[in-house]
Amino acid sequence: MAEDVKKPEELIQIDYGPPKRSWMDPTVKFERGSYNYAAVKENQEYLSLPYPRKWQPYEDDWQLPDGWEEIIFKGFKERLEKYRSLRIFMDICVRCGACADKCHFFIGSGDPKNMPVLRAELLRSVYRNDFTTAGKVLGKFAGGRKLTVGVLKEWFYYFYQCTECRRCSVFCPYGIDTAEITMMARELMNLIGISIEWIGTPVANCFRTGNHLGIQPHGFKDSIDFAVDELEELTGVRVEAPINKKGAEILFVAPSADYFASPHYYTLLGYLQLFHEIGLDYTWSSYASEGGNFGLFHSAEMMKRLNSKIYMEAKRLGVKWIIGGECGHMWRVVHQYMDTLNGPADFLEEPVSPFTGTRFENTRATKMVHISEFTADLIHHNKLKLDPSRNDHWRVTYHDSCNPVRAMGLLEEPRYVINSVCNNFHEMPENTIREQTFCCGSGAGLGTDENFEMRMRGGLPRANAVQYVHDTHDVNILLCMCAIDKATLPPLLEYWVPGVEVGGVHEMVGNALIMKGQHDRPTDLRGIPYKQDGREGDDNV
Amino acid sequence: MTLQELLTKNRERVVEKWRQGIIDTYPADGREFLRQQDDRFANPIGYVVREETDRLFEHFVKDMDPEATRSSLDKLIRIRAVQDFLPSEAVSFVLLLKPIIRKLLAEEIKAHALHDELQATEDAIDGMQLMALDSYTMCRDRISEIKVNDARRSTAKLIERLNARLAESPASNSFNNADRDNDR
Repeated sequence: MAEDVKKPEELIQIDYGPPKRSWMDPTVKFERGSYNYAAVKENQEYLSLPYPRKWQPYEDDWQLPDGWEEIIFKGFKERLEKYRSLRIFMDICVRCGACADKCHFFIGSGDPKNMPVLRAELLRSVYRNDFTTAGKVLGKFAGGRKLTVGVLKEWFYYFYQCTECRRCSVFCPYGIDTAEITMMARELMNLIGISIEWIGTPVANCFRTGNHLGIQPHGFKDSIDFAVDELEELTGVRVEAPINKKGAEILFVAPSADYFASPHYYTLLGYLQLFHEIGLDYTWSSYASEGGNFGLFHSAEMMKRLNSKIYMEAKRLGVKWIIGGECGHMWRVVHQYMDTLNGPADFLEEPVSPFTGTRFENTRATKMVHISEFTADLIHHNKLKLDPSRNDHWRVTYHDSCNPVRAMGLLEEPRYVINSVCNNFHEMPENTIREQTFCCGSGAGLGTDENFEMRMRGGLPRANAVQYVHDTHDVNILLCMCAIDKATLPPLLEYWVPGVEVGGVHEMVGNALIMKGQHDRPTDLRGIPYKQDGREGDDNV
Repeated sequence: MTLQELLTKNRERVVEKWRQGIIDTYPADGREFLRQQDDRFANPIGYVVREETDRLFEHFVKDMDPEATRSSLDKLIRIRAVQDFLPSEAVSFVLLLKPIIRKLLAEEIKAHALHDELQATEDAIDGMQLMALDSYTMCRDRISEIKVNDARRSTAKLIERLNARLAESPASNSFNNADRDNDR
């Protein structure tokens, strides 16, 4: 026995490095915290999706339907013929590596299969094997791989470790839209009943009641009424928040989290104050009660189905145009896909601000204006009475949410608004904002509890930049314009940068907005009291 | 010459080896990036490894200041606690220092008869290893707390509204943990 005991020197002669393997060999371990649960059978059935079943990624047997390889082959072929972009993205990459170190999941995990180029190779290798002559003849030597269960599991693991944020695409010299590669891979997996719960459930809810949480019209009205009551307590002003008002000039659509989750809710209060103060003739819709479109994370068909409700409601209510709230991927759908999915929106008018006369020409196709464009225009024309010192207890930085910035180029408007309503604004380092912004790490359906560790890894680059402005400028709030950000940045910062809150741009607008007939307003929208001797916030901010 | 002097003189070499050992715990194809990308915002893992190993070693040689040591360990382990590592893999990089010191400085240790000091140094490394375990446990506890807070936050306003409703009706009970506990 005694001679079996290793000496301390021997005990620590451990190779700490993981074994070196070729990327061609599919190896996926479904470790807790790094994958998402499978879509729920009932919801798959509700959405009439193929092969609904009970399964989980960590199980050995995924109960794949007979002939699943053929189903994927046909689906791949169909998409290559339908989307010229997909074929180009499959063929054109020269593996220059410009994207390799730009993905937050790679940066935060060090896992090379999260380099966007390698993640795309997981799909491309099957493309080469099945659809190119070189691949068919030379197989592995031409970078081709046969689609096996192992490869499929790898697809699932890594294409659900992409938040479709498109940071990598900014650096691609060929302009390959890596998010679309992920979207296609997910579409192919959908064909054999493979999707995740946090996409399936919100999509099914959205399809039924119009919003992710499945809140029904009376619940929606209740939520808005509650906010109106609370706003009256906070400001002394009773605002109107019309719902389903036919003939209103504008339909307003916001992410549903704005009316049920925190800190989104304070942004909702900001919208309500703003619309009341300028006397906007607008309406909410109890069916277009969700800006978010988890269909984008599922398939083109699902994205189309969910997007259509906004335009159907605009038509039903007879509005002239639409304003959209602080939502993220809704804007990717609206700005880049809507016109060909559900357009043309020719029953609507080209948006013109009723207060400034500004014509929003950029929205000629979609007829949908982002609220930060609308508000920036109001401020620019001095239509709002603002007291930025009411936000002096906040030392602010701004996270460019991926889709508003990279999918629609909304860089200056939110900054203009923030600078008009806050006195203490500090930008994060240049390579972490604007087009180069780092994702929250939880978009595209990945913001789940079971995927927590992966989210913390993916969010590390963002949190790291927040840490910097927290250390150097004592920043205590991170503003953003996306409901997923507002839901997932708070836990991210609780882990990496405790002491920094998360808020919305229109929350700051609401704080700073001087309303006609308001009372003293001793607190901000969060109920944090201002100090008596000035506008400084309470110490417990 | 004391071992402390020897370690101070060879600080660069020892720390560089240590860093390499830590980076080598990541998959091979990603190591070059972690090692070479200097920008702290483009490569937070590499930056933290570079900065904090240096700081840790400085305190280790100088005074083992518990606060500073804990702070550096925390930065390194906060990252490793959410990555694909077993608990032992996440914290055992501290132990790597032992063979590095022994191998790199073998001849000088022998020449100056520093074996007793080496023993004491290795005991100190063990102490640092235990502090690393504390850090790891705290990080994991924090994750559990955050998950609970997160679940609460996601439906915060719904619960508040429900409670407001229930309070309006006379025979009601609110969805409040404190109330539920009182009922038991």
